[in-house]
Amino acid sequence: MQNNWTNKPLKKFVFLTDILSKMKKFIVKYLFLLLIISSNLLSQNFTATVDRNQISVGETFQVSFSLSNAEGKDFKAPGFKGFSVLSGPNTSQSFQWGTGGSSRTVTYSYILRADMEGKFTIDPASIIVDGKRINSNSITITVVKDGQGEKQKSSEGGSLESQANELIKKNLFIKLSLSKQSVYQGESLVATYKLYVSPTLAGQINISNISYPNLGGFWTQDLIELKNLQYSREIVDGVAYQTAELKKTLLIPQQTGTLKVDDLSVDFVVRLAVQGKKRSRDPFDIFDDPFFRQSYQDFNFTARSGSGNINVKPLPQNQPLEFRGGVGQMQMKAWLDKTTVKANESTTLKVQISGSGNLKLLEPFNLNLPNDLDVYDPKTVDNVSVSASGMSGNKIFEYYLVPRHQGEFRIEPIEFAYFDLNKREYITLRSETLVLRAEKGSETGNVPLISGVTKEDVKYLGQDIRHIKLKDFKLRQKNENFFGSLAFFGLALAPMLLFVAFILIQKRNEKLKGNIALLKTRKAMSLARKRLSLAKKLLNKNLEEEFFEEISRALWGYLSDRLSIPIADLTRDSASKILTERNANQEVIDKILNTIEYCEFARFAPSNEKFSLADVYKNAEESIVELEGKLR
Amino acid sequence: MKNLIFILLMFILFINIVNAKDFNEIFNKANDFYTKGEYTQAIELYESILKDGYESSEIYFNIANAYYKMKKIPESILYYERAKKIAPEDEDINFNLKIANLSIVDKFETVPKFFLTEWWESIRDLYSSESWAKILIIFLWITFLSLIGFMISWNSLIKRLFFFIALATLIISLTSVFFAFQKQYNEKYQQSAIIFSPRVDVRSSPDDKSTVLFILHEGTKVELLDSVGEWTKIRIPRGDVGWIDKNSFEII
Repeated sequence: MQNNWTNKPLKKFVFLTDILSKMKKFIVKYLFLLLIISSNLLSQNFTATVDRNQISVGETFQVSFSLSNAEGKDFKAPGFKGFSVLSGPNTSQSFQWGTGGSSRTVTYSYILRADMEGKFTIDPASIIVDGKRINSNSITITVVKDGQGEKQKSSEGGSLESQANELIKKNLFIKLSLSKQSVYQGESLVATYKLYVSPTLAGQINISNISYPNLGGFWTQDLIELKNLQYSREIVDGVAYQTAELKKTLLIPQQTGTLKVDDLSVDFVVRLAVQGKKRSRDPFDIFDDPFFRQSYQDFNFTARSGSGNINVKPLPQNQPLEFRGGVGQMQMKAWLDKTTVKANESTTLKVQISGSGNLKLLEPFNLNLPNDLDVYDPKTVDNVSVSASGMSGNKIFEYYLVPRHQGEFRIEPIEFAYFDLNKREYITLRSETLVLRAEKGSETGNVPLISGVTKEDVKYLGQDIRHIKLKDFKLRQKNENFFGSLAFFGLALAPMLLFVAFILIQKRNEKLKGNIALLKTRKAMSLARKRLSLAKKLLNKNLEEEFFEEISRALWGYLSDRLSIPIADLTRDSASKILTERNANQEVIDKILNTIEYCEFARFAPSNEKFSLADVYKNAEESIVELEGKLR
Repeated sequence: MKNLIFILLMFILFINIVNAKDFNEIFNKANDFYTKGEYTQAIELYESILKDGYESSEIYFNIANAYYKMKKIPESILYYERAKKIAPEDEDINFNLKIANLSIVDKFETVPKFFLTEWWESIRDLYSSESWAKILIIFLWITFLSLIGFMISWNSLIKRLFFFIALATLIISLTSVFFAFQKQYNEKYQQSAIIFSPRVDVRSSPDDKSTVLFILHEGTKVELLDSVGEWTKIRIPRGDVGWIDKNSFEII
């Protein structure tokens, strides 16, 4: 072994495992308290691991065959073709008590040296467990020419730091793994940031700082809490890495498109054994026993996981109205706590959504409830567990309902649609119609709602109804109306008929009366003429007295007929008044009346002969003609 | 002609007094039951008077009172409304109807109308068509008697007075004819109903699956507009229109 090292004068680092193998590996486990090894090796298995799978010719490495949780016998090692066995088999046993119980591991290890370059396969080892021979896995080792292996690179680095960096980079890294690359919006996936520590560095690292990623665009829920790193063993290409999940998060994309999952970076402090301390006069004194010459130095190293991209597909366009954003597989159940309550008492309507999917993101939805069913803000009961496989469980929305009146309240079927990830289509769930029966509540519940009373109504509050009618009731046939009845028309038409009849009678009377007057008026002139012509005859015979009588008769008769006044009522005054009323002028009136007067005087006192008889006749005739012209 | 008027008057009187004597006894008995607080018997007796297709605002009023005392508000409102239809001018009916309406759930603001329309309708609704018809007849008589008076009087002052009386009463008569016609039309064709179901969904169309527009409760008066099968179209005082099950109400 020393020979190996002597061949590499530039080598400054000694892998701790090399030393550990020499020291039958104990100590260091306790140097770094952070590292608690806990392997999930409860199941029985038999595995082969190496501490490195790429080495240079002449380098040594360790091969271990571990059998866990089983009693094995008759271990048969494979032939290590291309390698020389420097030591082994070394048998070691370890017990571990983890959360899942205890495990026991038996390890058979060999220290091998690569003799020539090329690709070599370490064949499976075998062991008998419970009477059955089981095989381990095989491991491929690449052996490169001396100076071309990883050691070469490290030797090329100038400073100690850069060499250390190179070395750590190979053996310490963080990987981001995404459970899905392409998801629907609302579909969950898991992002895991895992720390890999190769056996060469095991126990030599310390985390100083972790900067967590910013996961914008996602709804996130951490699946692990990082109090202690839970290490487990993971074999990558035959190398048994110590791995620990630094962050494991359930992501639910809230946007569509390509979303970036940010990287996580960890600052480590790595303690490496450095060959040849500065203190030493000859730092590269390679002939010294390295175990005693080694010292440790801390190096800062930042590991980054790198970021990942997720393609988020939008949900299909044909979203049903009842779609509430649920994605996954879901069931719905809706029920009433009590289906019969009294008015103003409460019951609870529960809507349970169960299954898997983005249950936590579901919000209580508005129900289509009858209007006079008071509903309070729903309460949400969340029984959703989150795991790497997504969310599952159930969510119950509790709606507190109070029927305000008695009656039957039909709650329309509650509809809930979600996007089924398996069928890749929307599924609409529908509950049954729920019926809530509200019975008549207590007296206090049925008191008229004062709030609904209008101002006008207030004056009637607290008043009782008026008493019944005790007498005088009128019965009438239904659908019989006085308005439009025969009686109505009779009574309505009666006054009109009466009026018409009155008018007719009036008319007839007037006609009768009017005819006599008219006749008289029309006859007045001719009658007067007749008398006047008689008077003329008397004039010719010179019969004075008869002449005057005839003239006065003619004039009086004319006036009487013309004015429709009986002769008995006629006086000089009344005639004068009526004639004035009837627009005769004073001259004519005086003329006719004076003539009459003269005639009457002359009859009884013939001595006064102011006028000749002929003049009197002339005056009478003229006055009648003039009066006839005036009176119309 | 005088004979004809006499026959008509007798006919009217005859309608009013026929049967009354026979039923007076039952009426008084029912009133006694009411006073004693035995409302069910009282209602039965009142109904027995009306069973032969008769109606009477007083009896409807008494039945309504009995139902009110039994806390059967929708029934009491129904009978108050029936009584009011016959005698809208009766103060007791209006008062008790208002009291009964305090106990119902639905309170509606009525849609404001043009003030002239409102006046017209409030005056019109003061009386039934029958009362308007009687008013019409009384004023018609006054009109024509005044006209006769106008024609036979010689004194010009009295003549003028008669003329104005005739003119005024003629205007009143003509208005009464309008009112009577409108009232009669309303009484005959504008049916209203009282909701009897404790609560009833008013839907947007005559279909069980259509949207519930609003909810009515027992005792509310609605106007009936149309009917299709099991559904009836209604209008509430607020002006909203919808469809309800025809078993949920009772026609006034």
